[in-house]
Amino acid sequence: MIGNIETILEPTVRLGVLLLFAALGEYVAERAGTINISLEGMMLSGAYGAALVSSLTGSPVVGILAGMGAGLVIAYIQAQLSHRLDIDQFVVGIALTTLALGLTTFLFIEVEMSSGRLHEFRIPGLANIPIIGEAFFGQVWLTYLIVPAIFIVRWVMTRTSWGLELRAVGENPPAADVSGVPVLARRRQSIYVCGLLAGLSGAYLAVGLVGGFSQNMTAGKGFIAIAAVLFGGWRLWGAVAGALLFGFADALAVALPAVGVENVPGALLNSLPYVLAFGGLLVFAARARKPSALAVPFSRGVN
Amino acid sequence: MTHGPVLELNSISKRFGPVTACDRVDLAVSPGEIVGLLGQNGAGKSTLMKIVLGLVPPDAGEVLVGGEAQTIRDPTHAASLGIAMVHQHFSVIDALTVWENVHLGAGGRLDPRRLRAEVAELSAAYDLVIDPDARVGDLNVSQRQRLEIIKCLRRDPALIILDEPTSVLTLAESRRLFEVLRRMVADRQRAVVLISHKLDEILHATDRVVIMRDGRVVEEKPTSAADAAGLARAMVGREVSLRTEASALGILGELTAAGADDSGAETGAHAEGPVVLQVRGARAVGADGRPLLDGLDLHLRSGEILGVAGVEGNGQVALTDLLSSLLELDDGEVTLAGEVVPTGVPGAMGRAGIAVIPEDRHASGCVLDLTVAENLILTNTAGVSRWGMLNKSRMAQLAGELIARFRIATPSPDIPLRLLSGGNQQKVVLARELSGAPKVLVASQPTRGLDVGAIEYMSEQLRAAADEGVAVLLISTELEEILDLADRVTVIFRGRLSETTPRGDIDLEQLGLMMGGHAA
Amino acid sequence: MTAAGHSSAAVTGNGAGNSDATPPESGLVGRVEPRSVRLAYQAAFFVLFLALATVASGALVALAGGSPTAVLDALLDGSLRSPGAWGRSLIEMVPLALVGLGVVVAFKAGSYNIGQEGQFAMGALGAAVVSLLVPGPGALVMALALIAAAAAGGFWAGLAAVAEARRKVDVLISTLLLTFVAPNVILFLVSRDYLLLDTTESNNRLASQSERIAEEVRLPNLEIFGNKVHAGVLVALVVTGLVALLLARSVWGLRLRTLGLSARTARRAGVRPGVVGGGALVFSGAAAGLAGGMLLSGAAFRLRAEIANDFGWHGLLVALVARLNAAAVLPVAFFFAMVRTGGGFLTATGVSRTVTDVVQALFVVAALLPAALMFIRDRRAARRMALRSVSDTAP
Repeated sequence: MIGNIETILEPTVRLGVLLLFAALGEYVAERAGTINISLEGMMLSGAYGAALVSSLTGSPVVGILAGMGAGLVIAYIQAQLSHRLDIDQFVVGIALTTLALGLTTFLFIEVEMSSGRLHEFRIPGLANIPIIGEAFFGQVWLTYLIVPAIFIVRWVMTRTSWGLELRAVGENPPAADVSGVPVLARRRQSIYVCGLLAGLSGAYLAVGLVGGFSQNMTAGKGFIAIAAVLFGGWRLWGAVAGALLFGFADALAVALPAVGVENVPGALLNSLPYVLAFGGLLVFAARARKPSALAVPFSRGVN
Repeated sequence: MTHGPVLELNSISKRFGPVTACDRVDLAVSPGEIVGLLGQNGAGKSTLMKIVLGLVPPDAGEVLVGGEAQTIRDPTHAASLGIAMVHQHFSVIDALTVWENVHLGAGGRLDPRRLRAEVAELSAAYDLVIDPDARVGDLNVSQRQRLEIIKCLRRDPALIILDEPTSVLTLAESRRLFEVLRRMVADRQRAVVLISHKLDEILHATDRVVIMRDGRVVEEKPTSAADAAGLARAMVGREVSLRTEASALGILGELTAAGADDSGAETGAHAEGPVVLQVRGARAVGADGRPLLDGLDLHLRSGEILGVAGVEGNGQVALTDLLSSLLELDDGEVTLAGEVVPTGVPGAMGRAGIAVIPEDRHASGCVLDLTVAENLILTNTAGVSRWGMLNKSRMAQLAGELIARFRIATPSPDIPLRLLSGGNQQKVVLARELSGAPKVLVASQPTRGLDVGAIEYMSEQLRAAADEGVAVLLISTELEEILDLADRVTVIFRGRLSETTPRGDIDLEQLGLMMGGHAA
Repeated sequence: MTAAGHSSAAVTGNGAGNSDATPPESGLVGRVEPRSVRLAYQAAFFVLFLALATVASGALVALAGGSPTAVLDALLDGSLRSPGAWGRSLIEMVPLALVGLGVVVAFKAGSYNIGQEGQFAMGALGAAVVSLLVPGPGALVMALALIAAAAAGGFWAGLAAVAEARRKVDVLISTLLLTFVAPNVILFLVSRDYLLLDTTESNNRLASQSERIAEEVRLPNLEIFGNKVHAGVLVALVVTGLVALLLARSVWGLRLRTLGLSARTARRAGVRPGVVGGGALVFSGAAAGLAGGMLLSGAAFRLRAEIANDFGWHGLLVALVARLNAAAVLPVAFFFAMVRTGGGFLTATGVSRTVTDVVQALFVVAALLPAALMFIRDRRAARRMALRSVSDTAP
């Protein structure tokens, strides 16, 4: 029984953290007023960039940085098109996700790369704690970065002028504008942050968990991360809880057969995270207070 | 300390397409004085101040701040030059706390403890009571304005611009505001520009008055040498009917006298009409749990104009929404000619015979990206369609009739409504609403943002509708407008209406007290 | 907020020095630019970006070691020139056009349904169930199958519509989530022998797929100039014309557009958002479902979990490239269909057929950019107009 818990807990942390990096980024973007559905594309490019560069350089760290850079490239295009040229943010997001999918698939087939994965970094002492030790303290080092990442995002959003301004442009852009906040610049910057974190999430998937790239390897995880933010009612801890819950659902598909539960159909397990996310939204979406200007484009003078 | 002007504008001009908003305007503001900038809607005073704040670049002319020529890029740049503005539509954000709002846009380190202390300090110094940790969404309008002023003062500006600051305040609150202004000026030798179209407050609160008309400065004199009638003439600059003039100028005293004189008889006649619309015990709660309507009762007779006065934010929007099918009641009922009308059911009020000119015409009165003709038939599709298909020629015919009848200036019924001016967009809404031969017409802030000509037109139309037997509910924050048009007057306060008073019996003092929440 | 938001006519404030000819009394806040000039600009920008996308695609091919001209040749051979090719492209166009039309309707109503891929799969499922299990005359079963397909797709979108109406769940995200569930539903059904799994000898119970549907319940074929085309092409043509007409000229279309442009005005005018907006959402799901049914009954003939094969996504892109213009959906869908069918001929050139995905995505981005350039062009004028309207709103 205890062994079973361990078997499920370990992939829950792994997959939950994967979603969480992306959800953190989406949280920042949504608080500033953008439903950034190119998140999936950012993750996928992050995964490809990380896998490619770490294969080229032999250094996973450089690969991870490259993955973040790849996420940033998508973010840059999304931000410029939707918050400078005023093209509908959803339309841009759909186009970019398609582009990322097509481009990574094509390049994956055309450019050969070697595989390689980060090693587990067991935190001495803690990793030996029964049940939870392996899950929380026996992961690849990138996993542990999520803890400072959460607190940094929290600190930035609540305790810096920049974070305050991000929240302001997500709530009431005209008021922020007359207060002297550069609304569109802040919105673009929030998307850049989102791109970096989503790229990191993709890099974590490719270099940290799988050790290589495969076609469409994110398989909708970006959309689940968006659902986690909605599920969490646009609050940081809500998004964390959502990401971990959906991570758990994802983990069940991996872990149930391993713990001897075999008669659950794979089709059901595969769709569990999506069904759970949908169900979660049914329960929580109506109660949540979303940023007032979410998905509302801003241009000065039209108010 | 410098003794030259804080701000000097030399020959500023600004055109928007064919419209000249500012035409070679000169203006100088010195430390320690309150300058009143007086003018009608559209006289160019707001554009002028937007130029000073860096929201609009001037086409020509020169802006000097503290004696130095500046090209002001944006509000942040203006703030760094010591220019701050208290906005008419608040620049504060509901979801944030008071201290967060105070800091917004200032940049630099965010130190909650220091900010709370600063808010407390300013609020003590200027007697602006406010809780630094309150969420702004929970504040009332007067508290919000205090916050707005604190936010402005914290940047220690040399020049403060106030844009129609009393439009949301009661008389008592306005007086307190002017005391605070005096203190701000006396204290640090600040300069203040008070933008207003109300003669009363210009006469009470300023040292010098500058009058703008059609984008030009037409007169400038010390307030002590000015009188209401002279300012009024300078501001309007043409002959209009006595009543419209009084209404446009906001000379309350003269107006009630005039109103009582020439329409007492009409008032009596209208009171005889049958009750058409009745609202009983209406209660509704907003999304955030605060009451929108709190036991509102209303009855409206055909052929009369009932004026609902009151300070903004006391339930006017909810009342309009209720009669537009946009709000569902938690308790109470609406009856029209004796029949109960379901609330919150899309289109139910319209079908029952209630027409509405909403206050936010862009959001709920019309669709800017549909054509003029489509907007005109939006609620009357049955009349121009057959088997669910729109009949283009019938549509064109109906649109043509309405365009002619309501004198809507448009080159064609088939261009997007977006291309028409504000006054003509409002005419389109009016035309559509009246074309359905309604029993009740709800007009909410019908003249807000319109120029003098359009205001006159709208007033005529409302009166004409009432004369034809339509029951008119006029909801307005402009007391003058209500006193000018209404047969009976009531006051809305915190989601309830007071007893109605025939216009002839109105005691202004009493009305002011009721708007501030003191029971009659 | 619609994708076509900026395509409406704009006003230039002060062009060509003749703005004085427009007195303020005309009621206009600026000067209307002649429609022909705007169209010319748009066309020019469109051609420019089309060319850029083509060059970028060629560069990509060259980068991958292929010859751009050979690739282009192969694409044209595969989609138009080889025997029967344009017939195959037409057949491929049908699902893309139907999905795209659904997207146009939903987006115009302000309902961001982006789960067509899942609705498409559910439609194929509906058609398969009827085709395989319902006995009766072939033509009747076929018709029933298509109806079932539309119903299944509509149902899948309807879940999102109900979630929005009742629980305020964002359509964008709910339709997306459901998309990932749909193939799993099919997978479940086609991997169980007591359900839809193909238990014939040829399959030997190895592949998760259904049996092929019988000849007589398939869409009838037409033969035009040596190209085989199924009857779905006619359906697509008719439906496109009908939707374009209804959107522009019917009361329903007007109400739907009103809802998408201004929800409050629509509600005031008696438009029920749950009925009209939810209806548009269900309609778009049904269109995607019908497209799935057409694919199953007209071309695929057997159900697999991967049946949607990106038709849903590509149909969504078709609508975006067509800038939510119903009439433009058909040509754009045919272009996308050409790229899809032509992709099969790439093997000989040594370039992966996945290059077509990139090419398509590049064209989508290219199609967005003319609007951006128009936006830049309009911005000064728009700002003037906006500021003018602000200066007459704020006293």
